[in-house]
Amino acid sequence: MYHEPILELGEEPLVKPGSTLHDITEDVCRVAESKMPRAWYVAFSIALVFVAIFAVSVATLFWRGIGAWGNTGPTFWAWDITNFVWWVGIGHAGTLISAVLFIFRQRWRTAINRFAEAMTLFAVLGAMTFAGIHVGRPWVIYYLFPLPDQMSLWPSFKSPLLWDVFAVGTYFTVSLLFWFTGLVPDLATMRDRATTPWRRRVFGFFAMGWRGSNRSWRNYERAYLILAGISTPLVISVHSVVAMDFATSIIPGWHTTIFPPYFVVGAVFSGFAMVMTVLLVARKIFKLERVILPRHLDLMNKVILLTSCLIGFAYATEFFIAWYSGNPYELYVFKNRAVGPYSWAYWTMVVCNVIVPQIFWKKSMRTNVPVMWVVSILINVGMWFERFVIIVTSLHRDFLPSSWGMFHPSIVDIGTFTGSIGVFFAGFLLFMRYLPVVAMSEVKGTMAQADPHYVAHHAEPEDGVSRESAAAALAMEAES
Amino acid sequence: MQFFSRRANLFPLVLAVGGISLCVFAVAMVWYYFGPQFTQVGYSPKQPIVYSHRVHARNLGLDCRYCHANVEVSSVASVPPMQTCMNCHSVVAASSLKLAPLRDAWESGARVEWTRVNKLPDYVYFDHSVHLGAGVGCVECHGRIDEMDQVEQMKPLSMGWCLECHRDVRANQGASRFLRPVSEVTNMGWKRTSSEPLVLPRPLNPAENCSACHR
Amino acid sequence: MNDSSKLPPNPLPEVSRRGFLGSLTASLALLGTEGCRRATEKVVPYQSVPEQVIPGQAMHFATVYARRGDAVGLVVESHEGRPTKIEGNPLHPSSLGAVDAITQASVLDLYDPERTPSPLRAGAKSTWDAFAAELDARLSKHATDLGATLRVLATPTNSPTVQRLRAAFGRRFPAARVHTYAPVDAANVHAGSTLALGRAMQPLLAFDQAKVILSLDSDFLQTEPGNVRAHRSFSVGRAVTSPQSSMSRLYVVEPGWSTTGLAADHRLPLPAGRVPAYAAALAAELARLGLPLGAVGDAAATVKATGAFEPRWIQAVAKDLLRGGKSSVLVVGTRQPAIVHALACAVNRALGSEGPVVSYVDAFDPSEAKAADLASLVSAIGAGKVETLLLLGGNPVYDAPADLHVQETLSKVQLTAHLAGFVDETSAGCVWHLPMTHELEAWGDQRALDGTVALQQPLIAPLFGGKSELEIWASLAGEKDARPYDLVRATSRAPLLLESGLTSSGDGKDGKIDCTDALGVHVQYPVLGFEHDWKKALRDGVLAAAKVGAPVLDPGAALALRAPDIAAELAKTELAAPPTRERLEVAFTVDAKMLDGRHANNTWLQELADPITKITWDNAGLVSPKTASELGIETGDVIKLSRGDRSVTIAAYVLPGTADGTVILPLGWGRTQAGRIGNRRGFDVFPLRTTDAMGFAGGVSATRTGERYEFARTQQSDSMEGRPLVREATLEEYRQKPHFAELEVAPRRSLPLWTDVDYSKGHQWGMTIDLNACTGCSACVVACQAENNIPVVGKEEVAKGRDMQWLRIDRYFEGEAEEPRALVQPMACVQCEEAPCENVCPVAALEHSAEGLSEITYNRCIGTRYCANNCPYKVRRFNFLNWHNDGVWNETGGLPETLQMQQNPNVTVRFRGVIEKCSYCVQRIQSHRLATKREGRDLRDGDIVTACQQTCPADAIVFGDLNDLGSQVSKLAMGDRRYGLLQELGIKPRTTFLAKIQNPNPEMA
Repeated sequence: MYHEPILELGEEPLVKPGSTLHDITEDVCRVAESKMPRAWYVAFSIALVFVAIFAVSVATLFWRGIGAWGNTGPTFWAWDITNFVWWVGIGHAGTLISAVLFIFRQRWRTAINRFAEAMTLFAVLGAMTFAGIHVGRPWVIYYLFPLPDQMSLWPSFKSPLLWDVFAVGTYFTVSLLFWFTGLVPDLATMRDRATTPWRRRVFGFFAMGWRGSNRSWRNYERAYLILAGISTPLVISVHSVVAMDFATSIIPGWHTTIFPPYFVVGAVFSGFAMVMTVLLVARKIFKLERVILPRHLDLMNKVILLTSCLIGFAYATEFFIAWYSGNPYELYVFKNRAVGPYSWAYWTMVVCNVIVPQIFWKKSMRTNVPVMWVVSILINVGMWFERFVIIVTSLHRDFLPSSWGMFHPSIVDIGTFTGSIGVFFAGFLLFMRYLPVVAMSEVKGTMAQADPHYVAHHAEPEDGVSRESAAAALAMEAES
Repeated sequence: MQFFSRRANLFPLVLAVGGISLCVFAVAMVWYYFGPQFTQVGYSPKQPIVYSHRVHARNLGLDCRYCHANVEVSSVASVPPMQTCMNCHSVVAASSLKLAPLRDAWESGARVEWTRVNKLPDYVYFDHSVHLGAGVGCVECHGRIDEMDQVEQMKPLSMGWCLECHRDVRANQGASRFLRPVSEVTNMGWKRTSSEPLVLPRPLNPAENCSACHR
Repeated sequence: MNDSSKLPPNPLPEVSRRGFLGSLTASLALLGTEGCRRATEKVVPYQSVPEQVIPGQAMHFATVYARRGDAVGLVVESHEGRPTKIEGNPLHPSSLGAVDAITQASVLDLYDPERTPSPLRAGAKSTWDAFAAELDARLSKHATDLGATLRVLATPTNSPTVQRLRAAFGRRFPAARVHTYAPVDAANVHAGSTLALGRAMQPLLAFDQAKVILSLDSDFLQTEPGNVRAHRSFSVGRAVTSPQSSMSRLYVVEPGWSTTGLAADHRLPLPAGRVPAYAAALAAELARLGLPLGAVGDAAATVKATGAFEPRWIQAVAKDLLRGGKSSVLVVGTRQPAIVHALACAVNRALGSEGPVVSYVDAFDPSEAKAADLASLVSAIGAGKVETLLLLGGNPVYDAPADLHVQETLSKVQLTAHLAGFVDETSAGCVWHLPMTHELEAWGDQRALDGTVALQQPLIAPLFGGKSELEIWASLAGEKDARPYDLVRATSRAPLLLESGLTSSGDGKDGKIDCTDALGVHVQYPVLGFEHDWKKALRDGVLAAAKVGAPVLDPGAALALRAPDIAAELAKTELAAPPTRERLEVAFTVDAKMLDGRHANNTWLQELADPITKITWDNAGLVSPKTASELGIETGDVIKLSRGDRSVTIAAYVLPGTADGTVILPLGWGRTQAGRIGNRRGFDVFPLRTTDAMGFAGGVSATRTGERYEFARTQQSDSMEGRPLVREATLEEYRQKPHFAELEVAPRRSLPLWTDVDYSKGHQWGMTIDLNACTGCSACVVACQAENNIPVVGKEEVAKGRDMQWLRIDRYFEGEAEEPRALVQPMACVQCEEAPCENVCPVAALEHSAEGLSEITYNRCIGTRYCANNCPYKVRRFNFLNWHNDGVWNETGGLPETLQMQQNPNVTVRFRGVIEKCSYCVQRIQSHRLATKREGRDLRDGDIVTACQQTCPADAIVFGDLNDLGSQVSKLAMGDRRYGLLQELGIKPRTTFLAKIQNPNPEMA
């Protein structure tokens, strides 16, 4: 039975008008319960191929050494760290959307936060993988951790790389907790709808005995708020720390105070783009149009537009400072970016990150799904090139011309990179296969039916329904 | 399906406490059981020729430096050449069965392959001569060799263990418990009698920088 | 190095054999990757310790290494019987403590796993006994024909003993003939002096006495004989200690860049064929200005040379030479024809620089190597007059003039035997291949350029069971049972020296024996043979005062100049016209690394960057930009050079500063039988080299083949981009502004974020590199490689930029492409006090020692490479692969065992995945520190010498304690020419550079 929702002033509906709470449950749970569409299997098998490629590449890398990659002097870092930073950046949308928007009471986030969080997890996993395999002797990587040892040696806390270890580690842990906490009520729903005993057990276990009782909800809300509070500073810290890997060095093009904020913005930018990329596909395949409205996409595109402009500003600032500082080495590096042998990479970056998103000034574009999908892909590309440009073009020509050189990727480079994308999507597809891809409970929270005054305004006696029965009906729906 | 009883509410607590203590436990286990004081100390391989330090060093009272002749001038104490053995054993116990391998090797010129007991990794550069010169007794690192029939590793020889001594000596100089008069370095049984600090010809400056041992 | 340690080893081979067996196991254990603690390690004691040997302590032996008519005295470091490192012998006149890159690298040849382990007959494994039997049979047969059909083809020798044995051989087989051939010889020099002075003599130059030096196509600093000695004295003459000090001025006229040209104040790129014309024109100008050249001057004035020269290069140079007077000197390269040498001789005589700067010494090897000598052998073979031919050393099939067709000829001889270290091109064409010993494996004696005789003593028994040339000569001379040791001892007794061309008087009662050589020069020799004399000679490496052919110190008096002959010769010389696009010139250049190709299988030299082009693992046809554009070629284009019916193909490399119309062709590359390392590296240019054109040839046409070729260079970018990297000034500017090198950098205002470390106490190690002395000869690079077990990565990896040498020499070009100047800058870790690399290491593998060393601990490094990124000098090297497996030898077992024996036991062999860099030779610092602790004394300045410093022939590198105000390094580091490269970054480098000073002639501007 449908009821016209009560809208607060100027607020548009966050769920397709005419949906009941039950529709939401149906829409979302169906995805994880019913058989996957063919598209899913196609996607998953492709992903698996790339997972294999990734495995082979990493095996080669470990067997032969870093030399299997194209890294060389002077570009001792290249695609490895490019990918690391790229993945960390992508991993940003999660906490931002879940925590920051939550704290700022952006109710529209509910449709997408589950996606974003899941994506964060797999992206940060990817990042940690690259951080792990990029070292020359991975078998002694435990030197990085402050463990007591027979050498009475500790890691060097002066090094930004060590800060990375902690920053990224913390970020991953908190994101995981956050994601899981949010899942609990939905897991309970899945549990109650489960038809097979093992599904019931597994969901039952992870639902941690959720009863939907008033007390559960109160604790849940509190825990969620606290976690949101904890993760909000992380959004800033993680990528600031990653930025310091470069900012604290003395290499022209790296040694820049603008890096931390610039990296954070870039991260949000790329994060949103990646959410967009996956979200749009999922929305189509799994018919989530009811919960993921054009309005959500419109809002996300606004964020993308904003961050894109900020990025453009950062690019401009870098050049200005390079000139204003009067530091010849600094100036050379930026000239070299724009007109040097890697200018193609630089201009790809500028076009994808700054020029293309400008079309979102037009509302029609902001709501045009094919367009925004293409743009989101381009942004992913552009942001990868941003990291490539920062790392490689700064290194390949620094202080002494005698040691200048070029970087050429090897087949293993390509394998590890494309492979990591495969790993990411494989993980993500599995998540969509087995877990509720939209935070049902939160979405419902944004619906009229969740409004305590709801019944008072609706449910007329002449409908033949008593207030009591209406209330009872609500209670039922809320439970389902 | 609800299979959590009321007691399940304790799980978080158990998990937290258990998890943390498990980690600490694991680290502790690795720290000890993967460490040289466990894996190395007590290593006592069988040698090609039965040679008893107890007999030679203690019962016969040979000085360490009779066989390990270069220990005061070279980085390595060096296993003595067979000639050194034969100096005595061409006369003493010349026909002993135990010494048959030695005689054979000596006559045939074959190689005798002893097994290294007190071994440092290849990337560690240790110098015997300076340690003796500073008054560090053989016993400090090798233990009571003079009581061994078959040589056994007594000390972990780990980096932390080395630094313990270096730092102590740097701080306490002559008063350090690791030092003895240079004349006594090969005296296995030497015990410090007076509480007076040793008088050192020049202040000792034991290295603590990396390249002192790693190059 | 204490004296006793230089006493001779017990020369019984089996002892040193066991020594090397023992140390072999040790060195195997040393190659353990991570030091797996449970691996059982075997210890193999000596059976009885050889005299002097103290396990764990290095020993040093004096010996000598012969090359191109010169012999360089060496002090070789040995660990438990393994020679590991070659240093110069300070007591030897041709070394004075330094050696060049090739000599440094020669220790690696000793351990080359591809040396042949046994004699081969027709390619099949055989034995020395079998050969001896066959040879004896032959010789007894030749006894009948007095050796009429017996020939020996040898390389020019420096060895009095070999001379003696050759003489004995001559007596035994009067009709036999000994031919000598070497692809690069001093024939022109000797012909020139014969023309001018009537005797085959070698000029000796004291560059420290010269004020104005004009080099006519002479690379006396690198590839000419006596280069180390010349380098030393040249750097003395160029030394600038204060604004008051004066320095010599160097003009270089040469077809292509040489190390000498790189050091020049004024350099004129001129085709080699035009140099005679230039010399004549200059002589004429000198005569015009009043230099008493007599007939020579007149002849020079009348010479008709097509094409003019830049006036300043005639007038200004002539004026300058005259101003210099007694201290002006002309030096001529061996490549130039006799007439140029003769002219130079005349000019030097007229200038009066003979005596103060130039002295002459008789050519040692009477049968001086000449292509003609080889030609006569070939024709004899062609006429069927040769049945037995012994080739002692050399590789004529590869390096003989192409028009002699040696390869085809050899097959016409019944019995050919080739004594060589490897089965090379020549061995392949001979019946017998006989493995030859390395210099460090055999007894011998070698005579240096100035006549000084030094003893060559073996440091190790022949690893591959070879025999030395001396031993073969002994058997030819009928002394086949004599031990080389005794033969050399015998020669050392003065009377026996006489057999190498001396007559004697006096009885030797006074312990001296008076000798007068064929030319009436009177010399005294000590009577050796007393044990202590012998031992002293072995320890010092030189036979005190013994000289075979003493230098003529006052040629002016002793040797009459044959001016008319020179004039006549000059008159009938026709001088080459300038080359054109159609008729190019090729100049055959002695390669700074391969020499004549004998070092092709040496990985260190292959990987060493060419001092000028920075090309590794290849040679290239060098052309000027102008010529290149005329020919429509660019770097990497493979071109076909044709001269008559002969042609070679070679990849071109466009090098500014090469003479227009000339293609520089470095010799010694493109070997086909050098071994796995040397085969098919670079391009063989010998096919273009004929008896009539040993130095250079005109009338060559070049065409593009259309193929492309990739070079692997250690340096991609040649310009300094206007950055103050190599800082320099002219002598005048320096005198006006002594501190010109320091940049005016505003003091940093920002407050320090941390309290600076106090470096005011204890030793504080530092280094200075004098860019005024450094000539880029690259000896230090190889020395560093030998000392620090630096792996070789191979061409492909170098091309990727993964070269591992801790010390590199940056070379920049300045000025316009027509007349560029080249600047060099040795670059290794400068041990910054505020090291950017250190604080980015997450695992504390990089720490700063209290003595200011930036230390890296390999076994702690996890290989994030962050430090390498953050190093502004990019001097940190990363082991991208396990070079010992994936390196050039590409053997899964790691480095071949014999090569492992060369490695320095005091330096960790690095595994894949770790960073490495220059450590200021911390192992040397450490060993001296321990020695002082042992001996209870303090370190003295000069105790510790880094490998690069020790070998530098120019004394450009000084290392020491900066806190010791008396030390040489602290004086230099506080001197006026000092500057810290990139110190504006606030990183406080410990290595300071001393700016370069030029001494240009104002009239040349």
